[in-house]
Amino acid sequence: MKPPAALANVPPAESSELDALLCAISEAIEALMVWNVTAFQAAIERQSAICQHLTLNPEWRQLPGTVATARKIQELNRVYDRLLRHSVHWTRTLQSILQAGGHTLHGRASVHFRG
Amino acid sequence: MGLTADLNVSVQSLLASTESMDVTTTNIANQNTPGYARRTVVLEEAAPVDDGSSTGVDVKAIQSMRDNVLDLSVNAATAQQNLSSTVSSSLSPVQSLFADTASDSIGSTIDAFFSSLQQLSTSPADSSLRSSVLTAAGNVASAFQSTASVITQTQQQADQSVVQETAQANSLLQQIAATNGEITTAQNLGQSCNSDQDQLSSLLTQLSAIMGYNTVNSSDGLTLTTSDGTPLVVGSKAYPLTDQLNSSGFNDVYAGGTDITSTIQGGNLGGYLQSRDQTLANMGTQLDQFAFQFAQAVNTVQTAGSDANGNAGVALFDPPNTTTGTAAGAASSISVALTSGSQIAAAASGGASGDNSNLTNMIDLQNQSITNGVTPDDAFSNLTFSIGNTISQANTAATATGNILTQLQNQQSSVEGVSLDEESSNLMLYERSYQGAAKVISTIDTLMGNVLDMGVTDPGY
Repeated sequence: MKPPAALANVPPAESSELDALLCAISEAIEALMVWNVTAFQAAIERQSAICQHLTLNPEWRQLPGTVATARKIQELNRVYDRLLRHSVHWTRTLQSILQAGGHTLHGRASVHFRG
Repeated sequence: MGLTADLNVSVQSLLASTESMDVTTTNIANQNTPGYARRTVVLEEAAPVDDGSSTGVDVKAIQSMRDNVLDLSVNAATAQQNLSSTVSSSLSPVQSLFADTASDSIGSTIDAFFSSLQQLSTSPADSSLRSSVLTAAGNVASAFQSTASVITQTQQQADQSVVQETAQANSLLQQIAATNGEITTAQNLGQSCNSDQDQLSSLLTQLSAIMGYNTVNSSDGLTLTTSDGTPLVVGSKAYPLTDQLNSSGFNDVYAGGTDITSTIQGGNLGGYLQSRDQTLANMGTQLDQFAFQFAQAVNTVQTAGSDANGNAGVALFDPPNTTTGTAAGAASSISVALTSGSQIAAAASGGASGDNSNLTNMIDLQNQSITNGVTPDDAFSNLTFSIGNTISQANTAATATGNILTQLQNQQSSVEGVSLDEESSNLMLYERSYQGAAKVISTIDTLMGNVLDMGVTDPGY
């Protein structure tokens, strides 16, 4: 599979890529927090691109310090997961309030969480 | 940044996000709540930990987007608009009395009275025509009485409304004082008082619909006074309004023992007081003078002639029940004194029964300036114009202030109001993003889970 354009010139996976993923998760959290959908979407795209790259280049698993960073990412990812669930629930509540008030909404995305 | 610091940032973020969401939920839920001002979350960077790394952000404050100057302008315009519309609506029962086309109006009955005199002048001895004159005179008296009665009734209705509006104002003043106290207490404790401020704003707008007032902000909270400085609310203490009957039988409004009736400007209360004490009172005075002078002029001519039996003429209209030299009460008490058409003094004093010269003098009154310096027709027209003009001015003012109020409310809405379109648009964008985010979270969890399940020892951990 061809890597995304954003990562076309990125060398094979290395530990700094995990740090970049960590940063991208933090940015998504911050974007959710300040209600900045543009920054949120950009952070998701970065996360997606990094994940795709990591999937295609599994050698990163062998790098020193990977387990510690992976644990850190997993912890932060779960906070991110909680925040996202909270956001989805909240958004639907708001939509219900808007619809109850007669405001027309043009559709609703379906969000599925694992587990 | 270490894991602990990372998690701190995340937890802080989660808390801040929750607060932001709650604020937006509150904004949307209160979109139509009177007095509600849109709120925003003010974030600030949290104090860094010892190693200098960030610990995320804290919610510094939930701020209401309130423009106090704009709120004051809206309330002032509300008071003015309600005053004008109340003046207009409270005078409308009287306006129909002064319609030129109404056959039972004062103007029409006076015209009919002079017509009956004209007919009698062609045959002064005709008893049926003499009776017709008495009937026409009785209609004039009835028209004056009924008009005076409607004016008095309209004043009484306005007076009842004054009592009702005063009671409503008292209720609001009590609530304003209580809310004012809560705000001061919260501020002294450093607590948020946005909800109380919203409630206070709503109460002040409701009060401005009832009466105008001045406001002063001090460390003790808001002080409300009438236009002459009589206190209505000082901090958490309200000075209730009371009603006391005056010499006219109407209720004056007192605050703390001071008669503030004449200082109440604006709002429904100001409108009812203006109609009762100014417009209708002036109209009643003019009507009394009209009735008094008309009756006196007719009586003067009538008593100068001789009736069908050669007797000296006696007053056609009962002398209005007035104190000598004043016309007060004339319109409501005027009546026909004669009991027979034969008593009409058609002839000059000592004249023969077929003489109509005194009748001619009476007919000439129609074109003489006998009432308020003008002819009876003009006197009635002036009254008609006066009431019509007052209502017209009130309607024009109501429309003009209504337009100003709408502009101010729009301005207020753009500053303080909640934009559902903006909120809805954000929601749609988020919904689309959530799908991608959930998928990535799942992928990251799998990727990291795989590494951790491998049981690789991490020398750096």
